[in-house]
Amino acid sequence: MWSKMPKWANFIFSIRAAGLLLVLAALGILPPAGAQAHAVLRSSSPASNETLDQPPSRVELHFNEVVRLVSASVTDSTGARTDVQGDTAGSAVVLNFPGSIARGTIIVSYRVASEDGHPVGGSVVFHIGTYTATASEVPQGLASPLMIAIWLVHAGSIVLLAVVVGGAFFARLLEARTPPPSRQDLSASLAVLLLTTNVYLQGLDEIGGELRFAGIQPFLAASHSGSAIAASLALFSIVLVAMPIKGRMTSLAATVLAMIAASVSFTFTGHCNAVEPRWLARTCMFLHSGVMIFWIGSLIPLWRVSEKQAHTGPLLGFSRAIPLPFAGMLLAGGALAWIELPALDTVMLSIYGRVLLLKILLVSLLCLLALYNRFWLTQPALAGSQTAMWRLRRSVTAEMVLAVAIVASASLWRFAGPDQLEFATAAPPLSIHLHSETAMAQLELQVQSDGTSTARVSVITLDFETLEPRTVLLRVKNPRAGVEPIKYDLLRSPDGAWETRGLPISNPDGWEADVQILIDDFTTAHLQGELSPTADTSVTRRTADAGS
Amino acid sequence: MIKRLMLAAVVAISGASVANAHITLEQSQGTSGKAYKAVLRVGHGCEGKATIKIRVKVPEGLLSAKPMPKSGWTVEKVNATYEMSYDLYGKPVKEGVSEIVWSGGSLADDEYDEFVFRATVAKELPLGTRIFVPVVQECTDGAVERWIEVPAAGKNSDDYETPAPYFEVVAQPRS
Repeated sequence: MWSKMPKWANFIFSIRAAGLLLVLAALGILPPAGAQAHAVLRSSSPASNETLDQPPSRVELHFNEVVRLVSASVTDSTGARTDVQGDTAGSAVVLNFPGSIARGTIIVSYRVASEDGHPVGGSVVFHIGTYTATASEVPQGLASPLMIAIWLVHAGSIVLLAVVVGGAFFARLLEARTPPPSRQDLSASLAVLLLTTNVYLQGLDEIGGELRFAGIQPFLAASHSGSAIAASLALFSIVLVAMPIKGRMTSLAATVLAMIAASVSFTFTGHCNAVEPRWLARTCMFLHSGVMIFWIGSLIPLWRVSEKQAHTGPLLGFSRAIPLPFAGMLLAGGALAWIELPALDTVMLSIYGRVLLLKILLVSLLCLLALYNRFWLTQPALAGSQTAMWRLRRSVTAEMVLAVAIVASASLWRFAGPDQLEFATAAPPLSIHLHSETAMAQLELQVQSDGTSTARVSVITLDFETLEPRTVLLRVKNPRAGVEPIKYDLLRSPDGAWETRGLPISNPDGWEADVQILIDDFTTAHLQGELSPTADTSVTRRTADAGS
Repeated sequence: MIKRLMLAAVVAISGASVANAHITLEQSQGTSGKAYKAVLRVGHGCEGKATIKIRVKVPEGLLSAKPMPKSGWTVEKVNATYEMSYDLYGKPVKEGVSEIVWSGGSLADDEYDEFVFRATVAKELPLGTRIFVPVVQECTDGAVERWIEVPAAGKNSDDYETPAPYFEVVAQPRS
């Protein structure tokens, strides 16, 4: 029959048949032919939530089936996102980790396609550095022995450095009676010991861990940081002043050099090291610490000269010399605080701010004492009043106590930088109400001072009755920042809520949550919502309204 | 010619289905008021572990479900009352098998098998409804995969990591 048809008709029929075949084939691929394959991440290296000392050179992802890498990115703790390349071999993907990355919590997000071309995204979160061991625990009163040791040794080495170097400078500048050489040697040795211990503890903190002996490793770890340069300069200054140098001018030059080295050493550590403008912060730090060394160093010699009438020369010299540098120290300190602290109304909310207030209080007391010494006691003491001499001695003793307290309070900044302000201000937990057709949940997000968050989920039925889910899963993602879903198994807390910690969320903007609860063997419910704080958006809206 | 086309179509459909890694149903459509042979295809274990138990929830609207016995596996049936009463060949039915459990066997991660039951698609189900058949796959070492996700409004099974297998209710062809 077909042979009777013209050839062109036969041809058109073939085209129609081919078209029909294509449509059928397409139907076979598209739903409802059944759900397609999804690749599932089986393991990764570094593993999820692992804490590393050093950034890894690569990140390995192992899937349950053969995949093809579509895209991948690395987001560091500052929120900076870097797209990364990688190689795929069967079911494994090896990503090249970027060389320069901020320490802290890292999110590696990936999108892979499985055999059928269906892309699946996910994220792996891990941490570089020992962020939990540095600062976050001290403000909560969870001071570890290592933290206390670092604080004591740090404050002690600063005081001793000032006593040794500043004391020598005072003695040589004002030609006071030099302290007995034996005692000078003793304090110099003690300062060397404290400085070395300080570097060791610093390194111990960097490699992460507790107060223990860890061989030479902490020194190696610290040698990469500014604290090693600072310690070397400080040691150099101590060696300089401890050397028996003949000749007034030569020894004075050596002490001036020592003062400069010791002051420079302060500019290599601390928060002033990281703030902009750096040149200003470092100059202020140099001036601030230089005067601090001179002032603290002069306290013991002053105390000693106020013992006897015969040695009033240095007192007169100091009295004349100190006002200008002292004012400079206050100015430089004020400038540093101004550079580091952006908003005055939030001062009390951060540990940094509280420490600053404590320090300002102590320095105010010191200024009162200094004024009292300068304008009420110095003249009578120089004139030979025994009472004034006695009072001066008492006052200098009080200054010594204040000096130690000021150094000790400033050393607390080692644990609480100004950058913690943003986490401290986020103190009230973020509460989000989520609901689905079968259940409701209250999701509470608490940003911790280390920049990560803890999540708490309470699940109830639509009738406000308690629901006992079998398991609760939390997925968070940030499509705007390119962060693919990160999955957390929540653990049941004694009070019935479900919790997890270590979420890489410091700012909830753009994050979305999906709480998956397993109600019974065969039923799940998904409760989804955005994490962005409603309070903030309403404020923004109000401001916008007022403007228009 | 038509036969050749049909054959090609079958090849195309089954070819596209080979890549399925989830537990899926072989037949994507079930006829309203007629028996549906549910063939559950199990393509892999739980992240590498062997499957030792398959639990199937017979969804509302699938009546008088009967599992097909399977050599090497014990089959268990759990009865329950339906949410509503259905008309089955003129008789009202209010209860029936609601859960089928195959256990006692072992299916390695790199092996494939099928678990079969048969049930009648209730006439009361609206045409075009997607019937989801939740399956819990239990493996060695206590590992479990739950293929139970039923898409919420505006979503489809591809939006979930562990979707429940499903089929669609279609009308009886006019004879």
